[in-house]
Amino acid sequence: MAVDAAVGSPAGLGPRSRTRRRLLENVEAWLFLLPAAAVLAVFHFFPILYAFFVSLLRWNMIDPVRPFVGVENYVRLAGDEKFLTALGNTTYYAVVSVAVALPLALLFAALLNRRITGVSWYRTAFFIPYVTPLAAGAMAWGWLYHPDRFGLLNYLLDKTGVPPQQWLLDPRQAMPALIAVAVWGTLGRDIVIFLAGLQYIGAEYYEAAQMDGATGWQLFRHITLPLLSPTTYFLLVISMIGAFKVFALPLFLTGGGPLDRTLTIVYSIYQQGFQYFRMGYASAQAYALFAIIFLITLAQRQIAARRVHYDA
Amino acid sequence: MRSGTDRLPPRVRTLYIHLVLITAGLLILLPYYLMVITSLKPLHEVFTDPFTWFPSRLAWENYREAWTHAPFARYFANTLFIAVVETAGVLVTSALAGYAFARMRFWGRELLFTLFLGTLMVPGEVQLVPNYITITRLGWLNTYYALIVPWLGSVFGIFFMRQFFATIPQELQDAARIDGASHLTFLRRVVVPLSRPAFITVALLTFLGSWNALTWPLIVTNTPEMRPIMVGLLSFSSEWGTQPRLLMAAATFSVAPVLVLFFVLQRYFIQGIARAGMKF
Amino acid sequence: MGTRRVTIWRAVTAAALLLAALVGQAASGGPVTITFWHGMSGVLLPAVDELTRDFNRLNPGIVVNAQYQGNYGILNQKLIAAVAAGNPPTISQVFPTWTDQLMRANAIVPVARFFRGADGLSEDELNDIFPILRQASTFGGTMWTMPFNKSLYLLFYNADLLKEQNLKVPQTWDEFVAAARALTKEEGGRTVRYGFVVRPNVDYFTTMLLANGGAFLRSATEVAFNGPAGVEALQWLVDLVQKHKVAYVLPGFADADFGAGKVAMYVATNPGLSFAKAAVGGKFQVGLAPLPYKKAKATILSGTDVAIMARATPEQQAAAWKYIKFLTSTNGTTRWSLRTYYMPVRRSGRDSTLMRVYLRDNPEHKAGLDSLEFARTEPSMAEWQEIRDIISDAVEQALLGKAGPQQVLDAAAQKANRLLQQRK
Repeated sequence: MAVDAAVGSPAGLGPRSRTRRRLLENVEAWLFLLPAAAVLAVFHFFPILYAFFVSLLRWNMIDPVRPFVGVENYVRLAGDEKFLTALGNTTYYAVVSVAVALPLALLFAALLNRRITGVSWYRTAFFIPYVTPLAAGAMAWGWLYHPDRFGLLNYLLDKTGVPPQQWLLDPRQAMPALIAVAVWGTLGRDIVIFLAGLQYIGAEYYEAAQMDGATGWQLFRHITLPLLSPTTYFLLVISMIGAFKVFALPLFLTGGGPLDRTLTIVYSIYQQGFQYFRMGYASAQAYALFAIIFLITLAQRQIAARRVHYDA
Repeated sequence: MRSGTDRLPPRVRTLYIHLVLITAGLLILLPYYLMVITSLKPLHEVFTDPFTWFPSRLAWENYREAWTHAPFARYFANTLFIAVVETAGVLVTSALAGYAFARMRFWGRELLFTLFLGTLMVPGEVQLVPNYITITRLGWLNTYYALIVPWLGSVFGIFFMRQFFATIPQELQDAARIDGASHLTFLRRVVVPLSRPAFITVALLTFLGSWNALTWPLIVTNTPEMRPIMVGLLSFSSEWGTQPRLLMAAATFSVAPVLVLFFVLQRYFIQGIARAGMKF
Repeated sequence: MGTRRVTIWRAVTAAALLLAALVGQAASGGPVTITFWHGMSGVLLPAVDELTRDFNRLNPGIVVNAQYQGNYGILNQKLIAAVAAGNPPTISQVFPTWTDQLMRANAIVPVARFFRGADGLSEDELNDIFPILRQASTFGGTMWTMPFNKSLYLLFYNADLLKEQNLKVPQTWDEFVAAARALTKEEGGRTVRYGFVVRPNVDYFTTMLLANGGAFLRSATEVAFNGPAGVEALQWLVDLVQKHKVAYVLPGFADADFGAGKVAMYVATNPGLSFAKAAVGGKFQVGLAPLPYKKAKATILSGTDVAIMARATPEQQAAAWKYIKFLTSTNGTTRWSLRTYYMPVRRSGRDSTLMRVYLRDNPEHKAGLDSLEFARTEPSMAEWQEIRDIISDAVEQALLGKAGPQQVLDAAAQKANRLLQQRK
């Protein structure tokens, strides 16, 4: 009868005991949330609020003088050539890396979604880059990307007659080169998540469609893709968010160069805040980034509402 | 999947798939191969022109040297301890919070959940300094508390658990209520046993995140006794150059445990993600 | 149930007693404990630890904890964060630009405070320190930090190759170009070995700026590196790559290519020698020489000094000063120099018997010691940190052929001047 009575509520009747029940359940829920919420409040919410407060100051972290400058930092970054460059670079990186990574991961997930011998080994192999510490991986990629004839990639290209490329030193190739490393790194995780999504699709859908005479491609387009859309959407969102926060890659591989072509927003925040100690300005940039990510996620949510099909 | 290959006999199709996977696998593993092979090169062969694809002899002593170069035994112990405690903690807090979001009604539920998700959109670097100051004020600098406590709450873990718990049939919850069970009892006795894949997934991802953590441990530890592995790897690089064979050796034995863990648990891992479904 | 409770109480009591003992000891005037934050990794770490151990042994009332914090960038971040959090170490390595920032925030105390005291430094002892090093540590007439691990830029070369080509070590720019040309080898229409490698960063440029008689600043608010001397210096570097084709551009460490025999010469600071030797792995002899010059011999000082934090108690500061004195004493600085290839900070260190014997067996170090005579310092205001990056960007643009030296240096000068003018 009491539709919204939850597990564990005392079996009383009447309006007063119902509100009391509701109150008790609220308290119980908050108690369940308390451990996680306490940690998150202190170590995630508080810093974010603190950073907002700092973004309104001009401060180098240790100077006792820290003037309040209002929105000056925000105004400045709107016209800051370096920040705008970083914004452009990061957007390019996010769009391309996700556009390359997801279809590739889906392809491999489809191949791995069969009962073939050694599938565990293949899956582990694809997963290795994801767990490799970037400090070591970056060094290996540095050797691959060494400019001139000495680099390994150039050495292999040389065999096919292609002249040596500058890779990380070429302003036009540096970002694509970084994107390749990024895709290499997240492929494993994306494949695993797609695998999970694929397994979620019941075999009966395929059987029914095949009985109707559907071909492989039609199966893919009309069964797999739509039923996979929650997974795709999930990966799209977390990949985008992660891509906009990219920092370790340019830090280890290019130092933001050449000519600031691989300067990303978080790298810019790091430079301003941790190298030049302009904490106020860095915090403002962080909030600008947050706003951007938030808007993009919202936009993705709008698209998802129309295109993502959840299973009944 | 593609209409072309559908028409091939199954044996050939499997061969074709193996071929693609092996080629892709080799390409993916190329940088990793470079790492491992460098870790086994004797000193004078590390930098040569042309590149030596296979060393003249396997320099296993690099591993011993890397191990003793810095107190890696201690680093390993630290990393293991921190990862295990953190994983256990995250499982507990995420299960509790995830359950509340999935199966309880309370004021502010949607708002709070959106707020939690929002924290994922802020780069972690922004939180470094305020958290450092907080840790200092608490007197936790250079202690295990600093390394573990800030990460005991995981928004991803909460989100994942919530997704998974939402798939538990309502009938079970109603039945438990009729039996007079509390939320906690229902969680403990029914939900948790049914959610093993979810726990394994969250545990594996948390363990991995903790194992690979670098920036935060670097900032809050001052002495080698408290440092985890990834910070230890940094000691091989400096302003003036890097010692590749030692770095690669250390990197290899730092990665090995997690790889083994993944290899063993991958089926549960994938199941966990699958059942959670990805509903936002 | 009962026995378990008893055990718990026993444990609690034991813990309380232990805690009381520890607290009691600290309060009753045990040894003074100080912390020293540094960025010395690789072979430098055991060298620091060894000196620290000896000091601790000789001074039973003091315990020095030398703690490696990461590379210089990380050390800088942690130091500033620690000062901001109110919990800094007792002493730390600092670059002059960091000293400027810390000084203006009243976070450090000048070492000059300790010169006259029981443990002070006599006039002779002070003058024994190389004047250029004293100057680098002096702000507003007072010496704020003590030079500790100072290095300078030198030319690293493949001694075997030079001998093979019958070349003597190049000294002037023209000799250098000729040598680089002789050392560049082609095979089948491709270059298999370059004479030199240019790293697109500020230091490669500023060393040549000074070598061409140029200067960093014209005044406190105006830079001078975009003058004719600077433009010529940058053009010379660009020509090495584009015109003479004896060098290539590499943004990272050159020791790897050097060890593989792909490049014959490069520029680095003294402590890079241990890494160069490791990369070479005994395949050939590594030589060091002063940098090539055009108008005036010059090189730039690098490396850090030690600063004492203001937050430390007077006892800790006094103890820290003793330790610093030990590290920079004739004996200390000589030992340090022999272990790490950093420069000795005292003339008596350079002239000591230990050093002289060492030089007899390892003559390549003479280059560094000789270069100390004409070493110069960079400006030390906190803004210079960012100006260095601005100059690096300009150098990169020129080397990659995006624009001419005059253009990029002028643009950099404009940005730099703006930063300097904003300084209060």
